Amino acid sequence: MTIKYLVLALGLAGGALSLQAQHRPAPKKAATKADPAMAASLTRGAVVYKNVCITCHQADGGGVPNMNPPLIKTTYVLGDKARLAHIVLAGLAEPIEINGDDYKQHMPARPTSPTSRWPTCSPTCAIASATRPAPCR
Amino acid sequence: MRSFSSRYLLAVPALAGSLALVASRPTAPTVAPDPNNAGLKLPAGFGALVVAETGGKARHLAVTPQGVIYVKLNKVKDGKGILELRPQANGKATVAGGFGNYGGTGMYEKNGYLYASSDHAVYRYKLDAKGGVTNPSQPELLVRGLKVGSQHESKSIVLDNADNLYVNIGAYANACQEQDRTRGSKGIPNCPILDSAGGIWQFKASQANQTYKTGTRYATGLRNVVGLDWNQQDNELFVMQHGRDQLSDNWPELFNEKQSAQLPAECMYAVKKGDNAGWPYLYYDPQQKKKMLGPEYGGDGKKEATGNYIDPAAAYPAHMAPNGLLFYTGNMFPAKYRNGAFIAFHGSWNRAPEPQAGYYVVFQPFVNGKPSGQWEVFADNFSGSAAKTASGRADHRPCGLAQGPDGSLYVSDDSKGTIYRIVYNAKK
Repeated sequence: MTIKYLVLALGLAGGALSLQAQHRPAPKKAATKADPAMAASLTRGAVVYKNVCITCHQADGGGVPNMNPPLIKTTYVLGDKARLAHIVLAGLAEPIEINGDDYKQHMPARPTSPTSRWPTCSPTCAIASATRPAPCR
Repeated sequence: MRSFSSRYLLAVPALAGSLALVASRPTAPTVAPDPNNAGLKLPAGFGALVVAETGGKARHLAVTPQGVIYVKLNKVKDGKGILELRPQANGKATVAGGFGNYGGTGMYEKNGYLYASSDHAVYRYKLDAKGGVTNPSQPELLVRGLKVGSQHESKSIVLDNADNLYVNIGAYANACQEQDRTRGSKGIPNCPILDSAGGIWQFKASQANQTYKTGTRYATGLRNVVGLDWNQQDNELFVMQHGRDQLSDNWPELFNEKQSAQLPAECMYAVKKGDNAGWPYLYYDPQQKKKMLGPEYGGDGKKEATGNYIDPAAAYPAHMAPNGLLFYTGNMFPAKYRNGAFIAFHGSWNRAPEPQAGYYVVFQPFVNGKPSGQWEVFADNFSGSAAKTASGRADHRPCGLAQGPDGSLYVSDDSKGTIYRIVYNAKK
């Protein structure tokens, strides 16, 4: 479930694309699987995850011991959403400890190169999207 | 009363006899493999047992001539960074204590001294006639101030026969990019990391307080070496390099995921003083058997590297993370193993989304101090199953290798802290 949440966040960031100006507040009702917009976000997120995240964080989101932190069962993903969004965008340079294990490898910031596989999306929108489980449009 | 004393009298010689048996053979206890060979798959005639469960991140280990096992932990556990394991009569061992309030990787024994490294420094402890450490809280500080970043921190160590100490100082980067591990980021010309890392440094093995200034950069252009050993046959240093990661992640227009999972080779190098293995400018393509120019420096997967760089002595599949190298000099194993190399492959992560690989100990035959013939998997199934290998969710991850006084091969696991002992029981 938690990896799904991250994938969703990535999907929302991706969904922003050129639509960031039309960003609107989240609906009060929680999105569900049946929600087509949610499903589309999950699909976009899965694409981004496979392109950008999977090498280090692995297919199951479990990370790599002593190097790349897990994205499952951790407050880094389940906790403060703004912090999560900030790490996704700005990377993480300092070592962190999760459940007694140290993870030291540097995570790069979201690249800006033209060859990037990342969707173009303003940081503000991505943070807003990630902090709010609704499509960014 | 009478029956008690006669039983007592009978017990005395039996007890004395067993004590004498233990006392007379302290270094050669009876070694029976575990019924399941400790979960490992081994060639016919070999067996394995779990020597001890340390519960720590067991990196490299050393076994003294008396059979005492010292294990370096990557992270201090209960205030101890080095564990002392005392051998038992059944071939297993018990954790008798520990010392050294620092984490690290390096652990090596030679000529009555135990050498250990943190990620910044190298220490030395004096061993007594029983293999015990005489100065656990006051080691000699041999080398200090070594560079460490957020990757490739291990300061693996080995000694030659001329009182020299060799220390790996891993490059704190993947490929010396302007922005590390960042897509499309170019390599920095004349990579500045190489001044103080990305190579093997030579120090004196018996001199205190050495630093970069008093040491020698013995070999450069080695991204990260965790497994290394001194070859006694040709008196030469051999190292296993962890090859670069993320060819496809960072250069998706040049490499697809499959190519990225299979490139570059994990290379074994025989290094002489002054050698340059070429990191970060090149990587080794095992299919083409060529040194290729890295994409950070203008390579495209087709251009060969130019420059005075050494060739690998042997090449192994990509990303499997060789963390232990040991030249086998014992007499327990059959003749073909003598003077050959065992390599502990910790297991890959950088093959995702392709299946992961490794998590085994390999044997590389050697003839006259050179690799000769095809390597083979020697001890497999540390991961627990083929599915666990493919997913990278391994139960155990082999890291350090050491040879016992009777010729047993010891393997450490830095995932759960299991210490394995592999023995040969069949007739040779």
